[in-house]
Amino acid sequence: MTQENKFVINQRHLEKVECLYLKGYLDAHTSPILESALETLVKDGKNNILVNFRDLDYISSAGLGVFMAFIEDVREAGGDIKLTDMQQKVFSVFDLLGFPMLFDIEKEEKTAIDKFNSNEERVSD
Amino acid sequence: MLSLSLLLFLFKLAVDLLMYLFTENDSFVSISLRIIISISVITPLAFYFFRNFFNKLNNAAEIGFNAFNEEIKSINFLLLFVILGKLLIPNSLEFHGRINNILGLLYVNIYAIICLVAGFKLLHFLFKWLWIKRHKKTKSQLMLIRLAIYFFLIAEMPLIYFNRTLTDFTSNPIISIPIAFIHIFLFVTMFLSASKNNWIALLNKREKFLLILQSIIILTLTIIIDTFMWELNGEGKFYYGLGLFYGSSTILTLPVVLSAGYIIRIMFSAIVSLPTTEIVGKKSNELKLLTYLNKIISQSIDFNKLIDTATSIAYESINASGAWTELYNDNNEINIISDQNINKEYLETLHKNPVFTEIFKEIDDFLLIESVIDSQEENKIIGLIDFASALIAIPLNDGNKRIGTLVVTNVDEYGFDTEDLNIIQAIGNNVNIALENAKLITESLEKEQYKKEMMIAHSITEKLIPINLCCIDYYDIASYILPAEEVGGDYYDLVTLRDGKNCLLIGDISGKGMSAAFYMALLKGVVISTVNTVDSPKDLLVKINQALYSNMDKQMYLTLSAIKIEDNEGNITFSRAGHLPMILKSGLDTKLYTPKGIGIGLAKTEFFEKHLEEISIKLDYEDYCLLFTDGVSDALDGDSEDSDYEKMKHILTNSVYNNTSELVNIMEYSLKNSKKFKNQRDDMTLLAIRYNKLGVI
Repeated sequence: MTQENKFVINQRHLEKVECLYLKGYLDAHTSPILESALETLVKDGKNNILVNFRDLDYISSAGLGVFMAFIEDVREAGGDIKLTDMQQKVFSVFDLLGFPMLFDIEKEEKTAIDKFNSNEERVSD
Repeated sequence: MLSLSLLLFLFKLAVDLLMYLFTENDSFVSISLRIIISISVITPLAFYFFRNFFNKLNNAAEIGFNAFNEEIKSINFLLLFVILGKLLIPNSLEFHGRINNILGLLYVNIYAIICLVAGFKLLHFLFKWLWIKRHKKTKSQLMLIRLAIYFFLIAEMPLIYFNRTLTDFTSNPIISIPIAFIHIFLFVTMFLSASKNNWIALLNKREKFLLILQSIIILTLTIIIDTFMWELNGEGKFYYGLGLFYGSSTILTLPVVLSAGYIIRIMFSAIVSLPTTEIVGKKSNELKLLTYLNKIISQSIDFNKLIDTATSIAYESINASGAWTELYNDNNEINIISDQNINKEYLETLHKNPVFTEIFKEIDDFLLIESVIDSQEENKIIGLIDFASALIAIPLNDGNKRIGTLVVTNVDEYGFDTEDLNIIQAIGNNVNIALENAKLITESLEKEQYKKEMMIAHSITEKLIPINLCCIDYYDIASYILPAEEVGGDYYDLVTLRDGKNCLLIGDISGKGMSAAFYMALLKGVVISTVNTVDSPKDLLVKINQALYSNMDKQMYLTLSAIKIEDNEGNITFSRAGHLPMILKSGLDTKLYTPKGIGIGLAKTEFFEKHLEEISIKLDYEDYCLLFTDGVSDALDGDSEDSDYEKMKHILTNSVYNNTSELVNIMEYSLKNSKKFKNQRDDMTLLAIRYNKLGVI
């Protein structure tokens, strides 16, 4: 199996939110793909980022680290990285590390998008 | 040898002189004496020419065409001397040196010596070149020729004694017919022997013409000399003259006959190979260039130098009027990096037209346009290139990736043929192979470097982790670590806190290899410097986070659990910074402890501390605590959907063990039999604690 089909990211552009859909295995070998995807978004000033984990089967410590690398900058710019739709197995990895205390982890994508929208309104008010 | 010859020659002159003055020249005694002295002059001369004959032919400079040419030239001069010298032999000469003056006698002797030298030189020349270009029959053929020389030398003796007149000698068919036959036989032998003439085909045009010219000269000269021998009209002074010096006529005339056979064959080969000169020259030139290219390729991993060399070789090897290599990058830019007789700026301007660029980029295998004017409509744009009426272009690839195109152009329509295309393709293939090679070399260097780093990382981590945990009263502790080939970053330790009580640590550093080893060293240092300042596991973890948070890469973190042994009653405190849960086995039950806590390096001190729990647990007699890293849980429970560590719990409750060492051994056995063990990519670490009321294990 090549790295390319081991891990895939699909991207969806909403009005205010950029959605990343992760699929497959996210480990030390595939995390650079996610890293460059997030880097491109942050570079373009797109700071409202939603990461959907619905089709992600596995995440390793290196994969977790990627989110840590960007969260600070994104939040400083007034945005956020919200994580949604995690499988139980993936969630427990995040949970053990204490990610629920550091990140906004939502069960459903819709909730996260709503939060982004309401937050935007609050900021613009 | 030469000086000995000269000395004996002077001696012969003196004897001849004496005989001329005091005896009859044709008496039996005088002829015998002359023969003996002549042999004594000829023998050292023969030695001089043929000493170390077979050993001398190893020097490359002596066996090239230039040497061949030089030798023929000097022989031609000698033969010319022989012919001119014959004209000066006194007309009054009679057989057996009946000569009417002393000066004539002297002259004939000197002339005979010149003939001898010419003969030997010619013979040596023939032997040498036959031997250099020898085949399996050469040795026997040379032997035959040698025997023929001996035969003629011996046959000359009775002729001198008995056939006293020239007319007898040449007109007597009993003598002349066999001699003529033997001559023809030797001529044919020589012709056959000179069969290995491939080297002539490889000469260039100038060399071939030179060879033919020299051959014609030597052939003419030898035929003239041959006619002297059979001269029926006139005085027959040549034969009479040489008759005065026994052996000289054989030594001269026989090689003359032999050389005719040899030279005719050589000349024939040269003439026949003349039309193919150009193609042979081209082929050998191509071969040279490809060899040169191969050398460059094997020596150099410098990309630009490689492309430069390849382009100039392409340009030179097929007589193109222009050549260049263009490279493509990911941004769709075109770089013309090696231009030979091509206006680079103009070419870049042409490339602004996408139609022009597409022609080259679309090439799959090759593009051969023999005539731009006669070619398909879409290729007519090529005609915009300066002086390009014909063109060959081949793609350059780095692995599967198309990186560029090598293009050669010609001023003439139909100036290229398929041969040229083959050459350019060969060059292109070589470049592709070289790029592949360079990649492999770089990869293997990186791999080597990586292996070295891994060895260092391993030795660092080995030193940081205790091999055996020492005993604690009332508690039985065992550990197990199975490092992965790639250093995984697992860590465990037993430390003493400020209050003197023991604390066990187990952790896992995110990342692998060198960076994991580096952070492990950092962690170990922080642990050593903080254990004396705190009393509780929570404080220890907070201090460690405080020290590491600002010193770690944003995406690096580590998980750590700390268990403090509080007393001899089975009381422990447990705090967990993002690490995996602790499993407690009590009787037949198991329980997971997952107090709240964030991984170290993920949050600032206050936030980290606020969310870090510390729990107290009371162990009963024979209770087991099991701590582990994700290498273990992934191997045993990685496949199951829920992460409740069922497999590990099962082992804990359904195995028979009496202490932690036995438990660890059972766990090790299970790990090594798990499916994931074969391609273990992470460290596997286990830490087991048993409360042992008796104080003895």
